[in-house]
Amino acid sequence: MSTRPLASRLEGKQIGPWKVIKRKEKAIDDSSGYFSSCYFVENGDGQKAFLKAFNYHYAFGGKSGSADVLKFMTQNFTYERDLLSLCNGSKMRRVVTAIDSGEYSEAGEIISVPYLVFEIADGDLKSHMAISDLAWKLKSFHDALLGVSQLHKVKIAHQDIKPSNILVFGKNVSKISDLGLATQLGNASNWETSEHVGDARYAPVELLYKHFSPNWETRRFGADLFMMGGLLTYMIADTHFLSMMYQKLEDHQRHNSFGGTFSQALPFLLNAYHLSLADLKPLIPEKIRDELTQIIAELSHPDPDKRGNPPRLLNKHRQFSLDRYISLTDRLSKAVK
Amino acid sequence: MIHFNDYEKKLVIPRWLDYTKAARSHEFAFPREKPFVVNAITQRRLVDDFADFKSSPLPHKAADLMGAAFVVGEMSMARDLAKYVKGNIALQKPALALADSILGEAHRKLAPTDVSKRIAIDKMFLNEFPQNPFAWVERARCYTILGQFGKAEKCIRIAINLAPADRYVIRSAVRFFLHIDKVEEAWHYIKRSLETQFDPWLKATEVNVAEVMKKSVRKLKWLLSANTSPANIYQFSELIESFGMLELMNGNDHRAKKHFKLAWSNPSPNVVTHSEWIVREHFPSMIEIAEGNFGESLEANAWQHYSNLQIDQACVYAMEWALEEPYAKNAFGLASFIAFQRGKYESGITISKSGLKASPNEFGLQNNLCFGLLKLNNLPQAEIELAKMPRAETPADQVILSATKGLMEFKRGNISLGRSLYYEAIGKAKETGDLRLIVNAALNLAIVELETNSVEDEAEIEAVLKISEKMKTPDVVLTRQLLEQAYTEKKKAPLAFKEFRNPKILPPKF
Repeated sequence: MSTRPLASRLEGKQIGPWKVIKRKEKAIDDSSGYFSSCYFVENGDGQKAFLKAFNYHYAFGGKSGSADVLKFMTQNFTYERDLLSLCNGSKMRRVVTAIDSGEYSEAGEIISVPYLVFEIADGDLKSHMAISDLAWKLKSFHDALLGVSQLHKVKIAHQDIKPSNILVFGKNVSKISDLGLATQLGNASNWETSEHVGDARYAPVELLYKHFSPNWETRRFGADLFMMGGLLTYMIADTHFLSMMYQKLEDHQRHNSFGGTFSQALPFLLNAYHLSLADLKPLIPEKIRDELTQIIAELSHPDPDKRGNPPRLLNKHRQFSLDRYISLTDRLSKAVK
Repeated sequence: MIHFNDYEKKLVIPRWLDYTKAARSHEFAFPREKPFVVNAITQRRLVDDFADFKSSPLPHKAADLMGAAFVVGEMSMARDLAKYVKGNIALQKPALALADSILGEAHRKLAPTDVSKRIAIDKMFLNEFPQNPFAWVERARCYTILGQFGKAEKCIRIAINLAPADRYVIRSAVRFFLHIDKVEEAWHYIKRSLETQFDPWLKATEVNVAEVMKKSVRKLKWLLSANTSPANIYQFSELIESFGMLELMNGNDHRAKKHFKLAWSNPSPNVVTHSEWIVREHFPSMIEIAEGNFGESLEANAWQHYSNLQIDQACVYAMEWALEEPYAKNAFGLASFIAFQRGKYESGITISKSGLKASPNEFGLQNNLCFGLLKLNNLPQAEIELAKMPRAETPADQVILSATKGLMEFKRGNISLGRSLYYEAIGKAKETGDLRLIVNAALNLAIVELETNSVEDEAEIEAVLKISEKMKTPDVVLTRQLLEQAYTEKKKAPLAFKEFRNPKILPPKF
């Protein structure tokens, strides 16, 4: 039996209707085991797709608590599969859903490989940045907003919105992908501990500063809005809003050095937020400058209680509702065409 | 006579720097007790994404990943990516600026030195972002520098409403209210900020405001928790220093020294400034513990060079200190004093005028302005400025005012009246029991007698030189040097001395 986990050596194998063509390239050998490995696959009809194989072997690579890790991973797979199934059933057209799922095993292998199969995209947002104009980017952002809004309507918070999770299909359709860190109100994922930060690189600033609102919507939908603000900033400035803010902070003010409370951090975070908006504004074409800056300002506010729709509009829109942003970006993308 | 109040009781009052400069000091740090650990998900994805970038590098991928690595403090990866991003024309300015910043090649944008221009920029910024408390504080600081206290107060109140417990906002506000003599306001806001939190920096400010108000403060049983790490001592250094000062004022020298030693082991710039004063005025033997830190404070450097009679260096530091804290009257007081001692009256006048912008009712600076004008024989302007003199509140101020009025009379040619005013000054100085003040007044009288060619008895000059001979305070030493210089020159032309006449007013005996 090979020492490499089965999930890392699926090339050439037949998994259900899917022939595994090629492993998604990685420059490093991940045989030590990550949570998952990815492959390009094709079925008998010539339909190409993308397979994500969960690496349960990872659970046995750790020093302790293998059973707990295995349980954790199994639950993750089931949870993600069920969420994707819910999205599919709800016809969420701007969310990348699974077209197949199952569990693959081989004789002589103790550990089986659960997998999810997704439609294949023509790249992610990052690969389209250089060749796209602002109108296209705003349309892509609008699509991503639609996707997140569709998730929010069934009380799912995505929690991992970033450029590589915006997949582009054809010339003009973008979808939000990867529900690996998503969580649903009333149906908590493994990640839904109150202090879960997820991928800290794109996390909302309040979670990095250890402020976890007791209100689920503020904590989770608020996080999604912040990440959407970061995404829009990336489309304009080629860098995330959080990194722009962090550049305005001194080392001792960044979360990895800061030991105070969030309320002690808020004044300097607010200052960094304002300075970032001031830097961002001149990059936006004048005819949509004020409105687009306002959208970023509302989505990226460092105080989750002040994020989202402004108080004057709360009689028409809920604080974290994305509907208003969807119609605004739709209009703005057409205005800059 | 020049006003000089370097030996007033010194408290640990916060500095008020512009936010960018203040943030660079660790005065606004809240150190973590445990190191931050990047979680497993983040670490795994960083590695994955970096590998993906290496297999198919693209500028936008690099820019995204660079920012992400920077946020979580993976600086080695961030630097690798920044090298790739740097100067890539396909990328927007913020991504390039971030790359420069990560590589340590960013140029900090300097604020204009013209205060009015700063206000204009700040107004535009606040028009856009009226919720920014720091911008309101900066606007207040600019108005304070210009002496527009009404406008400054409005700005400071807005800032306090926006951030009622923020360390920078509250310490700046306290400094402002003390500057405009609204001590009750300073007390109110500092007390309120401490209602919801304990903060050693704010607590230290509270102790010192209480001292200004002559209120007693309850001594904290603990100053430092179990944590005596250098970082923690830095955070508590102002508080420890403040309690040391209280012990000193209560006559507990031993305990005071113990506190000072601890505070000076890792002091904030404000503590460094205070330590210089403590060494100079109270515990010269502690110089070895303190002096290593003097480089951290322009003010400490200015005073230290001055007390070592390194006048040119002292002047440079005093001017830098005045630029950094344009509302600090002592910076202008010291700089103008030095300029006058070097015979640079025009410079001394300019410095006094600059200081008066932010402190228009400052007795010492107004006096120094008159003094300089009189030395330049600009009597009409000196009379105008003398009329603006605020009331001399303290006995020392009354001594100085009499002496300056005496100088004016000498310059008007009213020698007897001038002399009697100087004698009045010396008499008042004697009432204070401050030998330094007495000698300074006598030295100044002797100088003006020589300048106006009105010396009636050379023995009096000799007597003043003799009595000041053993005094080592820099102001006396420097003024004495001026007298010696003037006396030597006169002696070279002995005919210049008038024939001895019996003085109409007898000088007081020393």
